Amino acid sequence: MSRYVITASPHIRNKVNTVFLMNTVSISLLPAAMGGIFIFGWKNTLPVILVSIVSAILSEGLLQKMLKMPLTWFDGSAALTGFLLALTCPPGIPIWLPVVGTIFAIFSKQVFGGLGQNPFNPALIGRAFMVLSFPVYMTSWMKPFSMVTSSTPLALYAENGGMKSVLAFFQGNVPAMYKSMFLGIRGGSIGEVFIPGLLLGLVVLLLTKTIKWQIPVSYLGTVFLLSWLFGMDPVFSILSGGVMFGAFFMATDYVTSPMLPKNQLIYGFGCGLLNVLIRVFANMPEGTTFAILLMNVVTPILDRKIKKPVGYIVDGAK
Amino acid sequence: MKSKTFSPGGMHIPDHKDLTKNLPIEDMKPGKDLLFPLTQHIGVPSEAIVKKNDIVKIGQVIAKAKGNFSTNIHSSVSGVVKDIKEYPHSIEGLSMAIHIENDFKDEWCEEIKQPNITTLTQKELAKIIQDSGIVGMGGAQFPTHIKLQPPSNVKVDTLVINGAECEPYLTCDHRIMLEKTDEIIDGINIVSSVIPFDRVLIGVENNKMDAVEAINQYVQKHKTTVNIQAIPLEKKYPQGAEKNLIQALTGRIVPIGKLPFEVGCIVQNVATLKAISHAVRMGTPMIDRVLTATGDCLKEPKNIRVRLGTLLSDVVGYCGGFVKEPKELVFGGPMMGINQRSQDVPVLKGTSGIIFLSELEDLNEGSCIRCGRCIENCPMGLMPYRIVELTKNKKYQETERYFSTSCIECGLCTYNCPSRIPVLNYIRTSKSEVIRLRRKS
Ligand code: SF4
Ligand code: SF4
Repeated sequence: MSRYVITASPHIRNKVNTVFLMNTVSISLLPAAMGGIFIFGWKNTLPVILVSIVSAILSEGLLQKMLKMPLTWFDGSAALTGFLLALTCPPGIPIWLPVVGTIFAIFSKQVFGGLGQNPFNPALIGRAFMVLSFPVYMTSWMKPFSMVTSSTPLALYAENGGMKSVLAFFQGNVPAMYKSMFLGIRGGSIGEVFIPGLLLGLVVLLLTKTIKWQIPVSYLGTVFLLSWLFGMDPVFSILSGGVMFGAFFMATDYVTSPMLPKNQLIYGFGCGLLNVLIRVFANMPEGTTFAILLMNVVTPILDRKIKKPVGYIVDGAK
Repeated sequence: MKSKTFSPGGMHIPDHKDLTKNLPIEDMKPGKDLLFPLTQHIGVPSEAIVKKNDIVKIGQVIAKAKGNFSTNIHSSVSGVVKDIKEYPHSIEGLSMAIHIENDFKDEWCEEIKQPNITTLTQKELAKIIQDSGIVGMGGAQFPTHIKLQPPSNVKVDTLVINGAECEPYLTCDHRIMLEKTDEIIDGINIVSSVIPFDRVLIGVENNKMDAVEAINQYVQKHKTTVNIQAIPLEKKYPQGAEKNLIQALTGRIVPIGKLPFEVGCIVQNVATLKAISHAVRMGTPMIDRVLTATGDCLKEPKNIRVRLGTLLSDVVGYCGGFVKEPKELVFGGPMMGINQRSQDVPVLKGTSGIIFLSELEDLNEGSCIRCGRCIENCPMGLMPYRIVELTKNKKYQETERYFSTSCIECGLCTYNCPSRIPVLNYIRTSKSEVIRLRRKS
């Protein structure tokens, strides 16, 4: 008589696995990516994206081979890192740059023991490395629908003295500014400019229960309120730079963000706070990358909290 | 009526109940060989009181309870004792079992008569239940007479009845509630005649609204002395777990490490109540049970009343054999049930389902991506991933700070882990280590 396999219960599994989750995030990035490709032209964007993804996957495979770790280069996480990194790059950068960036990103993950062990978001570490090592390339921005380099609204804001210069750029027309900021008709990184695409991606992530609402909402909410308190235009603040991209896709990275919903609210608040402070007080137009990386450091501290189980009684109460 | 539920945690799992939920219970004739393991309950194994070649009848006691935490075992057929030796056992692996060959005469033991009972004391009822070999039929096989004797210092006011049937695939309790409503209510009346409950709450997941209506209509038509109500619950696993069921129905929370008595509740399964009714009204001991034979491999999934001791191979034959080669065979539900190595094992008192699955679960363990899903769904509010980390580092004692011993082993953490980490296995390890260390000190 046939012999059946013996395993411990449960004997069924949810269909959602790591590959599925990673790929869901990648798919939810597509609308924003397509917006960027359309706005900046495929020649300036598509090669960056493809090279970045391929080089991330290859670096992961090679590193895992070298470090004699189990090969998981096709689990979708390396591809996602590459995709995320490419979308934070300015369009038209030299193609070797994302290669360097992804190698660094993947390396930063594997040295800590691979997926799940890395304290920092790999894509953001890769980007931080690129910004610090090749600042010129990483801050030369391209004007939408043309090949001439321009400045980003945020750079205008930071370098030329505030909102006035931004508005001057839009000939003083506030609704026109909002509209073009919303539609991504501005200088910026490939994936961060097309706001409708980012929002659509967020909806996909929330509907598929890939992420929870806590981090994006508290992050954006904090940026909005604090910018307003600091006398900045709050709408401009959340539409500009990589705030939305960061709040939706970077700060929500499972590995480097806290697990309990309450801690996620604190984490999102911290990201927003640091982001605004960097914008206001440091001599940097963008703050998203470093704000989130700094909060990555806080995650393990937040995660130390022990949740009280159902039926818990305080000692002495009974 | 709005469906009630527990919180936190829990989730709906694709239930596959459509395979059998509309199929009336069929009576399956027993096969030629039957096996009666001496361990069919939590507690001390019963003691065989028959010898090889003895002639036995239906309902005859073939093994006697040994101590209070034990129950009697009865033959479910008439025939002859072939052997008493170690046989494959679904839970224990190997266990002493009595092998009886059916003579197909279906003769009842003369001692079984319809008793003439008018009033019962709590003690008398407990005795009948223990003698009839009744144990929890939801799967745990906990001796029922013990559950019905609350310690004298607690006030029990609510009888909670588990008709949730939250495990995927299983529909036997659903069918019992529909087809044997009268027997369940009778069982309730018997139990509440010895324990003065204020109310009886029957929790039923709302994918079985027909059962809720059937019970409530029956209760309305036949006046009962105690207040009985069937209450719809959300479809959410593990709605039928004792502590979660109590919370869903009464709002009371059983403190960690305590029994339902603590919050004035006794929990019983619907099938168990039906068995109590049989034992008290007709004097028939536990010789059969209703189970769901199902899964994607069986040709004709069914709800069947099976004589205890029936071999699985006979059940498979009754269900028309296989359409697909099964890889895995589960006793009970797919979330908490136990795998069987072969079809040579018998149906036990707690076997609520027999499920043949063609697909083996993904056992490729990856690393924790800290997605938080195990925390989110844990019905006990634990942090399973932390217990896994600590167990991997052999820091068993530290897992107690994360309340590893409160885990009810519902399996949701393993079910949901996208990295296919057998979370519950690690928790089981840590639990048994914690208990071992406690014993030592
Ligand atoms: S098996 Fe235990 S730890 Fe896992 S979800 Fe269920 S109760 Fe929580
Ligand atoms: S569900 Fe699995 S991967 Fe997610 S946190 Fe829990 S153990 Fe880690």
